[in-house]
Amino acid sequence: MDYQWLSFGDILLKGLLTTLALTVFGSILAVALGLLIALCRTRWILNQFPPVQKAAIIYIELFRNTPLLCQVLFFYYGLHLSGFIAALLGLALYTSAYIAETFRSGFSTVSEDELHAGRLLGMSRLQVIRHILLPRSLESITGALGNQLMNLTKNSAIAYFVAVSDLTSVFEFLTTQTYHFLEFFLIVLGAYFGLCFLINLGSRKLEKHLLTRYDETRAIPPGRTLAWN
Amino acid sequence: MISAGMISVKELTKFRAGRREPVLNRIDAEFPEGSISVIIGVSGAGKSTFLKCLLNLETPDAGTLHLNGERLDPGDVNPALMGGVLQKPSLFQHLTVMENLMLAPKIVLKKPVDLIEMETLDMLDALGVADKAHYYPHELSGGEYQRVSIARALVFGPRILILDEPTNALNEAWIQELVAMLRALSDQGMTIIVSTHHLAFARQIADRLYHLQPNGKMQRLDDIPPINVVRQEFGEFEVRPSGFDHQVIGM
Repeated sequence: MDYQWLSFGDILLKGLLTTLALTVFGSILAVALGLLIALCRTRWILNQFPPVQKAAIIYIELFRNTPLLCQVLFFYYGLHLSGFIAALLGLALYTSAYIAETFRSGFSTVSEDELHAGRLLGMSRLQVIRHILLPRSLESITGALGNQLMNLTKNSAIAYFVAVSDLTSVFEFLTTQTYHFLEFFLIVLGAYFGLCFLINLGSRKLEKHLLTRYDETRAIPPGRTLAWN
Repeated sequence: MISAGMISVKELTKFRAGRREPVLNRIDAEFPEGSISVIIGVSGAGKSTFLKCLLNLETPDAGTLHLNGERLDPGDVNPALMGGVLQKPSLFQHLTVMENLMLAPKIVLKKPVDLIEMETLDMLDALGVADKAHYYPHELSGGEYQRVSIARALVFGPRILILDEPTNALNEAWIQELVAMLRALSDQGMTIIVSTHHLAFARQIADRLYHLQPNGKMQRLDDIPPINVVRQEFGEFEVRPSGFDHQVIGM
């Protein structure tokens, strides 16, 4: 039996690390940007600055309503960025638009009077966001946020189109070199599956942690349920 | 000399988005120190908006707000001067009763946690809800919820307390407790301003009574008007049993 394909481990590892880097940095950027855009869009936060709200809406619509591939190609060919940066930027901006909407839906579950109450207690708007708005919102959006990060991980395969040696690109290269399609296919698919599974596991754990604070002996608050029950 | 907890508004006007008529129309009112002022009016008349303007949570389109004779700047919220209880749910739902009361002293005043904990427990004890210290807001009854809300509004020892519809979801026994609690605070010199639908409660507690009319004007009343006037001026109302007739308006 031919086990020569096993010797390509280092190439596969390099592809995996590139995908991992796109996923990790892309996720950090997407969440940070998504949160910022959602805050800009929220009336309570920036009610004095309607232009900022409008700009946030335009951003969201622009990146949600155009294909990810076109965005990445624009950054690569249009702005002459390196393949990795173009892919990273495309993934982060595209996903951040969805994450902004996810945060916005979470914010809408918090009553305005709860936020006003924070202000009445002398808290700054930033303190209200940090101590009230975000923890309250996260209870309801952790699952959806996890989904967006899983999508980002799978979408990172787009890097293949801008000459980045990610998992997909390495898979394509190795199968054409060795014709061991099935073996590499299973390895690459397994790697994507593993990454997504870890993200899913993390978001479930966080969601469970946020909700079981309410104590197992007492009822979970109305309207909040554990997603996997 | 102007007393320590006097608040007044001059020509206060506020428009609501999409409405040509102002929801608050050139309101002049004065709330002396140690008095309990009650604002009545139908739903949607703008009672909550008025109270939020007093609390400086909303900026009026015209008019000024004065605290002890000094003009307050828009957005200037000082918890040591004014405390507020907004409509339910205003307790932080993700925090226990104890955490609700401790959050602001911890992050705003940066007091030592041990000290805050002791003070908070004392306060909860005084209000009879110490046994609920580790409960979440959704686990409290209406009366307990209101007591905790008031306790939280008092953590900075304000001179003025503003309550928006505090009788909502309270039964008669809790309402009587609320009356006693507000009376006790007022006797200590605290200025209290309350909005309510509940006419019997208003009659029981008010030193000053204001009627916020649907046209946005505020009129000072000498007493709760008789039922035929209530029906005529306030529109729909709800009659409750046990002798509390014409007590709830505009439901």
